[in-house]
Amino acid sequence: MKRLAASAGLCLLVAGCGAGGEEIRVSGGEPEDNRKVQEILGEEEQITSAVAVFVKEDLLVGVEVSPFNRYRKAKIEEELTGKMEKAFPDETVTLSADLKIYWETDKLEELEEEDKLHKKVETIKSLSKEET
Amino acid sequence: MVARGVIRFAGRPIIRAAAVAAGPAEKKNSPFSPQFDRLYDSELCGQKTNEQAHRQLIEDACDLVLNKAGKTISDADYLVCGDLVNQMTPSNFAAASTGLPYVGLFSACATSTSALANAALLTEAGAASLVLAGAASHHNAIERQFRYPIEYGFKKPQNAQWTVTAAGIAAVTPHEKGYPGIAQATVGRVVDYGLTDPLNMGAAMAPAAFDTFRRHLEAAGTAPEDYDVIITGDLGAIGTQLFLQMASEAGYNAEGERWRDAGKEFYGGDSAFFSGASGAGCSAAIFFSDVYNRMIEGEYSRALLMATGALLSPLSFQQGESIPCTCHAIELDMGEGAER
Amino acid sequence: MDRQAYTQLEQQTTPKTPLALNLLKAFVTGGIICAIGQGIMYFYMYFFDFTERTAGNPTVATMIFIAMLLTGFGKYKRIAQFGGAGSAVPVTGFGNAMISAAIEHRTEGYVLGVGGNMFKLAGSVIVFGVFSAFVVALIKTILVKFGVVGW
Repeated sequence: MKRLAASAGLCLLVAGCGAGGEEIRVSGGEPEDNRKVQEILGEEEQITSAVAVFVKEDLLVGVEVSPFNRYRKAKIEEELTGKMEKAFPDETVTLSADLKIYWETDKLEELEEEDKLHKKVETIKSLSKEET
Repeated sequence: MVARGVIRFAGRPIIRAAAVAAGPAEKKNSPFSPQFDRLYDSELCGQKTNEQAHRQLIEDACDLVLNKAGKTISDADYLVCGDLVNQMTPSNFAAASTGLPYVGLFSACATSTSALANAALLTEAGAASLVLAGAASHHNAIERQFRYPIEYGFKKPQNAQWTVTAAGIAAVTPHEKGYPGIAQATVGRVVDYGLTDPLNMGAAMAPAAFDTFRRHLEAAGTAPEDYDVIITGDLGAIGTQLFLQMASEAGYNAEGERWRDAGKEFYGGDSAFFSGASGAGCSAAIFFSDVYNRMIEGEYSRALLMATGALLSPLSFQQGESIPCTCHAIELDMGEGAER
Repeated sequence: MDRQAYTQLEQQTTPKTPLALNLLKAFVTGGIICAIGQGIMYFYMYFFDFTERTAGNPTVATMIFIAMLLTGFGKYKRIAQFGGAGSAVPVTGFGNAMISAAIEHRTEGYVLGVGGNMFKLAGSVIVFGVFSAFVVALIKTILVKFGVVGW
């Protein structure tokens, strides 16, 4: 029984630590822009995965930070936002390491209707600004 | 006077009858429950509060013991009892409803034997023909008094003890043949060995038990072998071990069936109750059921009852004081007695 | 036997606390409680408009609510007997301390009983929580003023 519990625990530990490969998905923009985002985010080692979506003048980015870098989440967000704004001066960049933003940005890709898309973007923007 | 704090009863008052009322945990877990006279299925015993339930247990035990003795409340002269709640209100209320002249006693968990000693004195002095003496405790009411709320989650160590929900009352009358007579009482000194852990009371009380034990035997001129049973109140598994070790180091033969502990045996050694039972009702319930019955049936002819008590309050241990303890001993004898 | 000898004997006789085992049990219990909390947090984030930053409050409230139910049904003390600090340190332990005191004192009425005693145990958590928050904030403010760290 004890051995079983121990091995189960070990499996969980290994599975937990090893999960999630690097994955960066970008959509909604010109092929060139998409590649640019891929490049910028790909260089960052603190990021395990990311989703970026271009919607008109908005660039929404959700990133997932690796476990131990989560303590510096705010700093990483700041840095990346800076980089993005520099690369895309014409876009309004909304970048967040918050899981909720990541999920919501992920969902954006599937939305087709103009209205809903717009609404969703506004929601994400306001969520990312919420303090408590 | 025999010795300091030792009273020998020449008239040898007897325990005419004894009764026990207990709660649900005791009904379910105690191997002694068939010997208890009334068992409740709820800690509240049909009352609104735990304290009222506590009082109900005492009243029940009084009724039951009078029934068993074939007497009525008007035959009784005194009620001598106590419990552990602030100012002993359950006993006070029970005394109010019985309408008997009442002496409230506080010796913590040693109240069962101190009540017997007082009852025997009243009887010996010719002041009473029937005294109801006993003690009670109620798990919920006492735990909240001394420790944390009942539902509060904290890890109790293996040396903790479980306060019982039980009341035991004995009817003490002048001497008659065929009943256990109170031959000698030893009033305990307060012994403080400086232990401070309120969750390890058995260890704190063992020195007090040993002190009273030694004084009692010296005054009576007896050895442990002279008794069929030497039963302590609520030392629990750990306290009993310590007590026996002290006794054997002092040269007594501390082995064999005759050494019992009510607290250790109360729940049949179930580890869910940690080191065993405690509370004023613990010793009262076992002394007034199992021990008493065995004496009546002739299995025991001479018994030494030693209820132990930890005289602490929540205030005293929070202020870092040690736990002063006491133990009162009562010697019961089925014989006629040499003095008669 | 004198006092000193007895104290020694007492320490030998009293069973030792199985520290390693207790630590393990506390770790597992606390871990399970926190995993449940994480699950509830994801629930709030997934189905409602809460971000990681804002989902904390409803999660804490839910966890305390669950702890209260368990306390009321008499289960929490069993968890605590197994898990020790693992069940006391998470916020559920706070809920348990609060509701157990409230249950205990309801016979004394709502104002002096429940109201007056509800924080009998949990009160010290609040007092020292607020106090340590104050101290930490003070230190940080001083450090920021002297330019050692930034906000």
